[in-house]
Amino acid sequence: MITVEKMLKIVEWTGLAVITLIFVFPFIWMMITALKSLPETVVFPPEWIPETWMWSNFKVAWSSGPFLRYFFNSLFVAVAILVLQILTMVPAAYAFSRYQFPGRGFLFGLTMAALMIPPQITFLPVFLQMSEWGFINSYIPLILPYAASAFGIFLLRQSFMQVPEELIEAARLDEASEWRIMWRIMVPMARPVLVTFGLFSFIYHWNDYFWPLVMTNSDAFRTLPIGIAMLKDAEGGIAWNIVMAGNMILVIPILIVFFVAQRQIIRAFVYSGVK
Amino acid sequence: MAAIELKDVSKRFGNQTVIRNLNLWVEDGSFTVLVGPSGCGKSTTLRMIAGLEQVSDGEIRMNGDPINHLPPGKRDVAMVFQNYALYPTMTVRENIEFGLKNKKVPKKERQQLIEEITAVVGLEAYLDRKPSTLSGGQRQRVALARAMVKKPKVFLMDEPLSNLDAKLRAQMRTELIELHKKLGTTFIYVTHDQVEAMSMGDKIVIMNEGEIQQATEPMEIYQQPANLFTALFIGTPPMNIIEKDKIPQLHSHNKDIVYVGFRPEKVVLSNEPLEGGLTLPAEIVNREILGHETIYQMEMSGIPFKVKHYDHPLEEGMRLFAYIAYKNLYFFDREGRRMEVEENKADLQTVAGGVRVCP
Repeated sequence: MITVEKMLKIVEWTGLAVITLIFVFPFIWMMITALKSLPETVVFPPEWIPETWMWSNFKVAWSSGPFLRYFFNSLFVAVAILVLQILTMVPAAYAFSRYQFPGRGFLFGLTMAALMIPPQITFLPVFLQMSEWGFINSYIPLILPYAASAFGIFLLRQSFMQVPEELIEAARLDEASEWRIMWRIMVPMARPVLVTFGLFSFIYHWNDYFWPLVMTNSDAFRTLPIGIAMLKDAEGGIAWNIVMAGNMILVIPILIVFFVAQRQIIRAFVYSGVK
Repeated sequence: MAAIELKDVSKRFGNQTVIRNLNLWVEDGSFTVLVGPSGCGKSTTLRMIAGLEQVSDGEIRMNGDPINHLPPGKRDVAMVFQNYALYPTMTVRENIEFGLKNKKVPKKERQQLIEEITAVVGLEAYLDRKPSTLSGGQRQRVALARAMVKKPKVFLMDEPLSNLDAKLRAQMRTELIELHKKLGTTFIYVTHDQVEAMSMGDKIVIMNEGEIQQATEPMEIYQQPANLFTALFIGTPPMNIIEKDKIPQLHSHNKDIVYVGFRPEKVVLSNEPLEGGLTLPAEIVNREILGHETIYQMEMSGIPFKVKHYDHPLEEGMRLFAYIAYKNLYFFDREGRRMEVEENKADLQTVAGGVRVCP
């Protein structure tokens, strides 16, 4: 006999499977396409399994431009942004959550306003300013405008506000400097939030296409997404298999990071839900 | 070791005055308990000594030197918080070590100190555990160890036992008393629990609405309350306070006496009126049997009062005479201040089963 609960379970699982498929399908399709030969990518009806697994597509994609340079640029920019963001957001969040100072409300409001302005609005003035200062074609316009994250400050402030005041008082009685309280008491307690933010920031800047496209015009400072997009423009028609192989190169580091930090991320969400 | 002195200390939050011209002398090596109902300013006083709150007016001195301007970490005090305030991301060892590291104590010395202290509080086996895996009593010990390891001149404790269950609380109470004896350091201890105050302190400071009501030894507070507030605060059940005019048995020429008080445990119940004291005819309306003692709710022509007895329980509805010896009567004026009425028998005369007071 199939009970009502069992039925509900079946419906639930089917639903979940369908949703998963919707999300995962483009990814699988990308993976398959990356391993096809060029004719196979355009046949109709589409082939599910490539006749020969074209691992060479990766090599072709990688060697069709200075990809090592792009890869390094992407990594350098994303990591530098993250480091600067953490260095600015920890003191800012600590001050906003614990200090009473004139203009606190106004400054926090300003930070929140920054959170709501997308880069598509600010890129032009930032570009003009950067070119005025002669920074176009360097890492500076890629990194500096993102050195402080309003989202990060907000997120971390919320997390810091959960820390009981007594802990800070105990630390002050333990003769800890404010700097030490920040990094030894507050930051470890906000670790899940910092890990989550770090991932969001890293993925966002690793994948970012728009900003580096605007701010760079030489290979020396271009990042991976731009390099991969340029694969499309190569020699006549679009070689989808090569483009997809490039995309795989772009995505794999993120997948590795995600698998390494998976437990932390899940914990971060569980924590923010419970507390 | 240090004596602490508060001179004309006031504390205001906004335009609300929480503490008004407080003067307090905490003797070197004493176990001083600040006690009072919530909101009386006892915790604020402690936090001002710790430096966690700034004084609005007045001066705090340690061994004669003003410490107002010093940050908490430089005052040579250690504090134990109500919820322990252990650093949750650090192990027990790191928790204890944190203050030493901030003081730049060399590693070897740190290790030695930690070993010494953990042996005292019995935490050797838990050094590498996180506080979240410890029981309430163990956390309490970590908090104590963290305070002790700094070898402070003064220990400040803000209701450190109130998060423990009754049995553990009694045990920790004894341990704290022993610890105080062993260390010989000044302890300033805040509690709202009069039993804790009486059993632990060698000096009790009773506070109410930001003012000190009385500051003296426990027995003195019990026997010689300075005012109605103190009289009602110490003792379970509290002292019976009756308006003098409602006791026809009591005659006095002294017009200043407004209230008369006597402790429930000082009442003798008898079947006949007794001589040499105040005798009130009354009825038992209710009783609480607690095993070793019984608390009677009694009534004398509409006036309720309580009596505590250790004898075999008496029946409800019994009509008896409640007898209180002269020396166990307390007199208060209109403002609630205790009046020193001569206990000399010549001044107190019995009038038809009552008492005449002639100061």
